Amino acid sequence: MINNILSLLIWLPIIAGLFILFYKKDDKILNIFNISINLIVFILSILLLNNYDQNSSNFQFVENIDWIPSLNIYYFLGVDAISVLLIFLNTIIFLLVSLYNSTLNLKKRNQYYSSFLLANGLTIGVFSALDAILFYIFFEALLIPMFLIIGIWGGVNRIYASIKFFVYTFLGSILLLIAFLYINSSISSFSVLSFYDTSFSIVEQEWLFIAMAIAFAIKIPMFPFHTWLPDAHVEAPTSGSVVLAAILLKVGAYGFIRYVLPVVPLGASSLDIFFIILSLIAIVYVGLVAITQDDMKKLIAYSSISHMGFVTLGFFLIFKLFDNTNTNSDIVVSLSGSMYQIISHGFVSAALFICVGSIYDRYKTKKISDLSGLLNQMPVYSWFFVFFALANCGLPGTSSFVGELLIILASFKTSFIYAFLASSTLIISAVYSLWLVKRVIYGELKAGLENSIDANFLEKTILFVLALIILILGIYPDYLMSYMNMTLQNITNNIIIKI
Amino acid sequence: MTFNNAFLSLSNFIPEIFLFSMAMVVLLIGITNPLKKYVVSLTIGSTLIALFLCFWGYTEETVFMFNTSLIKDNATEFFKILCYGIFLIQIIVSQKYLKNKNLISGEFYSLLIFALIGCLIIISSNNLIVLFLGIELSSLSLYSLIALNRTSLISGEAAIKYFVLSIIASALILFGFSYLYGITNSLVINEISTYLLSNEISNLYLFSYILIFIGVAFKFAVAPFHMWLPDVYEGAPLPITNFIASIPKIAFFVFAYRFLNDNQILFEDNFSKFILYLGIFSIFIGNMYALAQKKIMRMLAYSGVANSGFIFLAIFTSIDFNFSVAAFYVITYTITTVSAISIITFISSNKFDLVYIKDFKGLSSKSGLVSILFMITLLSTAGIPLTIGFYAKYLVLDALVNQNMIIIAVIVVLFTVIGLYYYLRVIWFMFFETGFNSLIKVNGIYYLAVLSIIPFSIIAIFLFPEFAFNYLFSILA
Repeated sequence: MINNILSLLIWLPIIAGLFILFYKKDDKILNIFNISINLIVFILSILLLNNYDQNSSNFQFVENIDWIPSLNIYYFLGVDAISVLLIFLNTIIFLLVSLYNSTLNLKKRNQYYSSFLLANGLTIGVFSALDAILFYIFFEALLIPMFLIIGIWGGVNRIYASIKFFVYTFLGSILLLIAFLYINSSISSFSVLSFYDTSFSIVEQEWLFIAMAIAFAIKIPMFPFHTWLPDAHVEAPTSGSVVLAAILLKVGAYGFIRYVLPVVPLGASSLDIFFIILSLIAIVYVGLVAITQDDMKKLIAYSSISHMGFVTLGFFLIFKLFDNTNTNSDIVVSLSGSMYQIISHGFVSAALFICVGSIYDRYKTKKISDLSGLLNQMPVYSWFFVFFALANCGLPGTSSFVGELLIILASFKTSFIYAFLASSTLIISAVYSLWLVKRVIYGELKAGLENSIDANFLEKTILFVLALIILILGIYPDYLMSYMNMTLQNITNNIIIKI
Repeated sequence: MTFNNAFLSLSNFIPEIFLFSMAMVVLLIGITNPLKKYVVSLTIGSTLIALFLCFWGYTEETVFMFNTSLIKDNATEFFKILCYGIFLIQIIVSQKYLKNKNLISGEFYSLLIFALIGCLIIISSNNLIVLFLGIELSSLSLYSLIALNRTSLISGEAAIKYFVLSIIASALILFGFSYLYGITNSLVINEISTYLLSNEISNLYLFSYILIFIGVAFKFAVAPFHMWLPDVYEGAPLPITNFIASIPKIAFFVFAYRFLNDNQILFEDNFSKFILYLGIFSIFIGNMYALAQKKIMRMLAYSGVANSGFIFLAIFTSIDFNFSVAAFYVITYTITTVSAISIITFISSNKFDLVYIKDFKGLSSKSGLVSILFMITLLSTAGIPLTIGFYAKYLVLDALVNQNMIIIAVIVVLFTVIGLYYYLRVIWFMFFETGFNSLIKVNGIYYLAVLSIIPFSIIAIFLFPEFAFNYLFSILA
């Protein structure tokens, strides 16, 4: 079983998701079935995490089956440490989301669960595919369940948001397809491994870089391509927002580190200045935009974009770092900062969206100006909210601090300006996070908000698990760092060799 | 021609002969009152038998019949079987619709069978005269079928439009044929195609090919020769639209394949540019106009224009005379269109027709299955993964990129993204809105089973496409 664990991880939730469509009743069995499937997938991902040999830099659990040999497309799966960690993040978030979903009042419950199960399997597919077209298929198919989740169960303006989400992402990904086709036309292979072994001329690399980077920049999203995200977040149901922020944005980041940097490093290094500037704009400007938001979900969405700016900054600093210091270790630091930020942000944003969702369930409002003084009404819940807000602004001891610190360190080695602008986030994120807490949790209780129930057992469990993970990752980062180390060094070598 | 040879030819032509005689029987039964109700089952039964005969007479080798006027090889047999299958689905699904519209009659079904036979003859013809007879047989039947709904004004308009434009197309094709005959001194398509192996391309040869392919463009509704399509889609009874959208396209694809296979003109710059520009222009026009449509059939018509553009692009990229990409596109497009129109026919089988896209709102709460089937169909037409439409578009893009025409690939892809919007709009009405017309009933396990065949195979072939690719490659090689 351990040899086919990736296929099992991908197809178990997908098949269960299709199966659940035929179960029309809305009862306990449906909930238990849904949660147990997610639990099994989670346990499988723990097995994967445990059995992965972190001292080897090769892809592991490889499955390579002829799928469409006449088109060079293979069912080629395999994971390295990055994929394993992202799969783990994915399964734990989906497990928590499935727990959270069982507390909700929903129409068409079975279809809702089905969409999430499909999204779960497809995301694992994205993270484990080593064939570019297989990756593309999962990447693209992932849009369908997310489109339905936003469109069917979303808010008032859901149609606009879901269509914008779909068309925007599709536009990017189809350019990605052309880039893959171009690579295939010159090396007759879609395997990532042979992508790594090929080096193209600088002009080719630049064009390939532009095509691929736009696709992933839309997905992450980077500054000028980010406008779909606030809309999608505001309109999506709570669990949809959680998945969107915690998982879907990571798909874009994963694309950068898997397909862009090691495949076309020359293209990336000659255009990296644009991406550094865009990342800094995302960090500073989008952070400032977040301060002014009155909708809590929009605020967190903008804060997500700002945090993902750190991730891309870490990715694109590496070429400047290499020029300045000529050592691999700095690059590894920068990349591990980005990876840490990716994983940490997955947990923090998920927790914040669940918090906002709980408020929305009770008061039917997401507007900050409608809320005030929740502390006395819901003490446990408020504790968690304050904790996650602090985690969001990168308090030392929480996981966000580690990633941001590493990236700021890396940027100091390249240029003071970069470092200065990047570290301004420590203030900006504190402003929007703490001001959010101040307005929502503290202050006088507004009329009409009395007699609300505190977090129930399930919510407490979910928030507690997330808080625990954030703390562990923040206090003891070394486990994750050493886990990723070999893989990141390998990726660094792949990049350096071609420059 | 010896008796033996003629007998052999006839034996290879049994399915069509059988179908032809059954069309006569259907016509006769249709006018006798007590037997009238058997018309539908007789049509279905005889198509099934013809399909069976077609399987039964299947041979690997290429057979020329009636002194090389007809050809029977792997490709013709495959496309014929596909036509029979599509035809069966169409007539089974349309029964209730036709009963409601009071259109069930002997002449309706016999004309439909005649149109089918015309297309089958186009598929298997290897002679210009027989080919033209096939075109006319199917076109003449279709003119009258479109106008069969006598009380409807738009049906009449559609019939006249289709008649006039289709006649012009046929005339252009015939004009081209006459030149070809003059140049090559042969009526046999094989010989016309291989004529260039021993002779230079003359301007006249090129001119006649361009005339013929303008005719083909008319039949495929490639822009700017697409004007008839939206009106016909809107005006004709839905089962007839279903027919026009699918079977003639397969037939005319085989027509194009016969004329271009082994023919050096495909690489003649003027001709290939002609095909390419028509293709790109068609993708542009189709997607742009489809965006603005409020009626579902007109939207599908313009989406058909865009897809025909893709078919022309696929033909353009067929280097080494490998037409499997184009064939795959044609097959994908036809079966998805048949699925889409069949579902619309099925939903319209009541007192109310589904005319506007907004009529779909809330369909998912009425019938989850039908809306999921329709969603799969639409996603396939848009080319989203998990459906075979993805491979169809993928193969065309792949061929373009392989020939270093990346700019064209990017342009085409951008239009596809624009086109995505109007497919998504239908999905949004089905799933995201509420308030489906409660008087419309969507049930009947028999119909639903037939309707699920195509969406199910769309996903099945997506998961295991290798077999389909290899098969197409082998029959068209």
